[in-house]
Order: sequence, then structure tokens, then C-alpha cells
Amino acid sequence: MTAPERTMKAAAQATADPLLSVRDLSIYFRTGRDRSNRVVDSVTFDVAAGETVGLVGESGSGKTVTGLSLLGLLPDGIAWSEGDIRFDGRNISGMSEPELEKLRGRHVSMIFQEPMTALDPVFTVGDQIAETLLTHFRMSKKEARERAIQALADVGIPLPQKRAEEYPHHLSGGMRQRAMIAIALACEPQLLIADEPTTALDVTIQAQIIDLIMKLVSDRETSLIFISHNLGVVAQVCDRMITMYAGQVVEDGPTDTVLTKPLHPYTSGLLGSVPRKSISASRLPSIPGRVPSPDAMPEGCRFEPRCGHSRPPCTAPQVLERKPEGRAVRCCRHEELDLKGALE
Amino acid sequence: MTMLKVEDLRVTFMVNMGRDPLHAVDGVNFELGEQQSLGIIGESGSGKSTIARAVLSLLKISNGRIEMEGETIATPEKPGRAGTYGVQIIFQDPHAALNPRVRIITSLVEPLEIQGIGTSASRREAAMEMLGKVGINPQLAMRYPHELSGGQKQRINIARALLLRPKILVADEATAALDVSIQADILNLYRDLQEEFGLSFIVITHDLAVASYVSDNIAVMYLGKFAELGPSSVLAKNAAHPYTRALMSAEPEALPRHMQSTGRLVLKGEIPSPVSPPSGCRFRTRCPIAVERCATEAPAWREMGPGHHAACHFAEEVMAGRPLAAPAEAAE
Repeated sequence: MTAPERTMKAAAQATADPLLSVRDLSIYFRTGRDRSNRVVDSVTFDVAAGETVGLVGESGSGKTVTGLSLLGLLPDGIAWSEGDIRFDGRNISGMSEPELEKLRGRHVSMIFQEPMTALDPVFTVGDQIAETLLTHFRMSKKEARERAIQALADVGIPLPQKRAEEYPHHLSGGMRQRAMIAIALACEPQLLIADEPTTALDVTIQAQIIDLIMKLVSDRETSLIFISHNLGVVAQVCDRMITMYAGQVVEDGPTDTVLTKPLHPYTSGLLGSVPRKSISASRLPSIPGRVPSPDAMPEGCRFEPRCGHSRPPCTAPQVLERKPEGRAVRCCRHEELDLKGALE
Repeated sequence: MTMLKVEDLRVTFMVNMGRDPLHAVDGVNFELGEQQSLGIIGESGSGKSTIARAVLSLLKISNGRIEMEGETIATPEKPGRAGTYGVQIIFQDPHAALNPRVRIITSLVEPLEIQGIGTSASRREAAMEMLGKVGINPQLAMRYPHELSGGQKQRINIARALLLRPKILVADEATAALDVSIQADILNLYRDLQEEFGLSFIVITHDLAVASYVSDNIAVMYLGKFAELGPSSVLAKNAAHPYTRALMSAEPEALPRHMQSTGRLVLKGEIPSPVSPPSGCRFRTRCPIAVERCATEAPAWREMGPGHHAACHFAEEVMAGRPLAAPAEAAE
């Protein structure tokens, strides 16, 4: 596999600056003529070159819209964002649509949960990969075709020459997700955003796709933002994990440390509620209540109404406090609490 | 006491314009005791939901017999009548299972109306009481489905199923669409209800951890047949079928990297078409230890221990810990 543009990646690694830096990102959705809801609130995080970062949380936590906004893909006129998104030294948040088009698929790519809706049903798989290549590189159609077949081979699709001629409906769910990955990585982007890429797949196929994503991003030193509600998958794939709750980052840190000793009660609650195959006798701890709706956010800590450790100071708004060892937590009581991790 | 007995169950669909038979369930036997729970796991297309539908008489069986408390309730000649013998189901999508145009209370009392149980007032009273038992504030009964969360709707579906006082509740991927903290609530609720109503459960799921959390026994299904059936604790630690081992090892655990099991067994390829299953052992095309014999001779359903059966020529060796070579990456 040729590497058409390693220079940018090398430059990014050479400087100490992170590849992606998100500062105070807020996302609003219009709910009426003069009304809107803030669904993502001042999200701040960095992704270094070659780093794999998991974004975890339940439905409605804002993980997916955060991912979409990084590519300027929020639905026009309905949603908009504030804040600063810097990618490889450039400001994404201020980019025009033509500038974004040069970035998408070339430097930043995204794959989605349901490959069938993300692939175009009326074009062959090979054409869809070639399209990406022809958009971003000066090459002949023949060359693009050859590269497309190679891309299919790279994602472990058997008989790539034949598969390139087929339409998405000919492929199984697992093969479609491989084809999606081939399209996303065809131009060797520096950052891949994967939004629940294995959620719709069987566990055996999920294992194949996880192995494939891990191998491809590590071979190519691609940075990865992996959005998932499945803590097991994130534990396997990601160096670092960021927990989101009700539109805010509540915890950020190295995956293994967070799993062993979470600092936020919500992270701890999530870890506890996952059933484990080895334990069957005890009751599963669950988190009472539900995620607040964006138009009725608690004034103070957003998790406070569901938190078993709530005290009077928790009714005040919480700040994301930076901690040693690259950790951060949004909980004023984190120093006094001894929360359960994945091992208890 | 045996609640449900399923003997040599086969369900065949005709596909490709009626030319080819598809054996969705191809000779399955199991029993379910009182207050017991059976988990059925397998990949999409393995036939697990078809078993659920057969047990509920939502489809006609092609062979075999289904017995409930010693009475035959369904054979190919005399199909069962759904809803008449104490088996109810809850489905995966809690929203799709409720009529969006009517209030919750209307959906709840409808099964009782159809069965002609009680008076209008007693039906409402029973519905309100049942909502309390599944942990829903009875005031929500006057709401419409879109006003409730997924977890609340699933509890309401459970309440509706329980109003007919079933002896067996079938949960077909009933927590797959829910967030983990909500899923934990529903799984705990299963346990409470099992005790309170003396219910037996059949839990159909692709999630092994869910199956082992709620089930006494687990059946592992592959292409219409059981590969293995046994106590959850035995299958979790000492599975006899390579497919069970593969499923166990494929499930990622939320543990720090140094504690994750090493030597993960990632299966090659995908489940073959059930229209033309492989000869001999159906799993052989993806099995890491398959030999020639597996292609010619279908493995017998053998007893491996108390209540533990498996269909593999090498079941003893697998149980004894024979290493299952981990192929590097799928489908070169």
C-alpha cells in the first residue's frame, strides 16, 4: 500500500500539538421559532496523532452529534455549534462548505452504525471507493479502480475484484461494514471517527471488525474517535476514554485507569450495570431514573438527581477539573468518594 | 415439574418462490422446568426467534411436538392456538409493540377484553395493579406511548404480557434496544417477577452475558440446530463445543487490557446460508479444529455431564481444554 501523504501526519506528530483539539464545543438544536436546546455543552478534549479515544455514554448523551460536528455535518438550519475545533492546525469550526469538502474523506473520515444506509444502493462498491479517490487525488479512473480493489483487499474482503463490481445489497452486514471502512480509509485520513460501527453486527462479526479497525489504525497511525455505548468494545480498542452524560464530558482519562478506578459516579454506575458472563448470582446494580431531557437540565450537576452520592454542594454547576496522569472529572466529591470500578 | 417440552421441533419455510426448503429449526429438543429460565443464544439467522414463535404457536411447525404441562398443544397436524395455553412474549422494540394512537391503559386491558376476562372496571384495576408490580407509576397509564422512555415502554409490555397470568414468558431480544443501565433494571425485574409469579422464562438473545445472567440453562444455536445445551455456569467455564467457546471469547469484556483474556478466538467468515447448510457438522466451515470426518459425519448429540449435551466429535477434548487455534484474520 502506498502512502500518498505521510508528510502531514509526520508534521503533526513532530509538533507537540494534538491532531485534534476541541474547545468549549456547544451544539444547539432548534425547537421552535426563537427557541433552541443546547444538547452538547462546552465539550473540551484533545486527540493526539495515532491515539485511539473512546466516546462513551447512553442514548442522548451527545456523543453522535459531537462526532458529526467535527466534520461539519450537523443538519443545516436545524442545528449549529459554537466553540473551537482545530484539526492539524486549521480551524474547522470556521470553514466554508467547499473547504470542508476537501477535508472530509481526505483528512477526516467517518463510519456509521448501519452500513446499508451509509452506502449508496445504486453504485457498485468499487465505484464508491473510486469516487472518494478521484475527488481528492489527481489520478486516472483506471488507477482509482486498482486502488479501490486494493482497498477492498486491505479490509479482508474475499475476491475483491469481483466484489468491487457488486452493489451494497449483495453484501452481508459484516462485509458492508468492511466496505464502509475501505471507503473511509481509501485516502489514508489522519482521523477516523467511528460511530457505533459494530452495534448492528453479531458478536462473532463484531470481533472481526474490531480486529480489523485496530489493525488498520495502528498500521497507518491513524487517530481514532470510537463512539460506543459498549464499554467492553471501548476497553479493547481505545487508549483513552471520555464519558459523556447529558451533553457534557464528565470523565476523561486512560482507559485502563478509568476502568480500574473511575472518578465519576456515572462512569462507575455504567461499569456496574454491565452483566458479566462469569457472575450470575447477585443483583445487577442499576442507575435509577433517566437522562434529563435537554429542555429540563438540572441547574447543578446534571447527574445529581440519579446519583447515590449526592450532597448539598452537588446542586451547584460542576466544572471539569483536570487531574494528574491525563485525567479529568466533573464531580466536586470525587476526592472523598471511593467508587467501584470494573473489577468489583 | 416440567412446564414445557419440545420434541424434535422442525420448522421449514419455502423460499426462492417456493422451490427450496429452508430448515430454520432442524430438530431441536428441550425442556423447561417450573420457575426455570432457558437462554437461547446464537447469531442472526441461527433460528432462535423461530423457536420462540413456534413455542407461542405464532407459526405452524413442520415436525415434532410441543407439550405444556404434559398436554400436547401443537403438532404439524394440529397447530396450537396462540395465547390459549399460558405462554406470552415480549419483543425487541418496545415502541413498535404498543399502538401509538391509544393510551397505555387501552393497550393494557385489550388482551383481557379479547379473552373476556372480568368486567371493564376489574380489568382497569388489574392493569393498574400490574403497572405497580413492574415499577411504573400507575398515573402514566393515561399517557400515550411517545410520552414514555424505552425502558418504561418495555416495562409496560411486560405488564401487558403478565396480565394474562402466563406460566412462561418469552423475551425475544427484549433488552437489546435499551441502554445498559436500563437493561440492568429490566434484567433485575425478570428475577423479581420470576419469584412473585412463579414464571418460567425463555430468553432469546445474542448477548451471552445477558443470557448467563438470567438463565439457569443456555442453549447455543447454530444454523437451526443446538450446538450445546447445559447449565449456564458450566457453559461459561467449561464449554464443550468450539462454537460456544468462540462466542464466549468474542464477547469483549469491560476490563483493563492486562486483564482481558488473551488468545481471543476470532471465527473466520460468516454463518452460511441455511438453504444449503454444510454437510456433516454445520459449524465445520468456521471451526478452528475441523477435520475430514466433520464433513462426512454429523456429530451426535452427546451427554457431557448432568444436564449438559453437545454436538461435537471432539467435545471431550474441548472440555479438557484443547487449545483452539486462533486464526489470524478472517477471510484472506
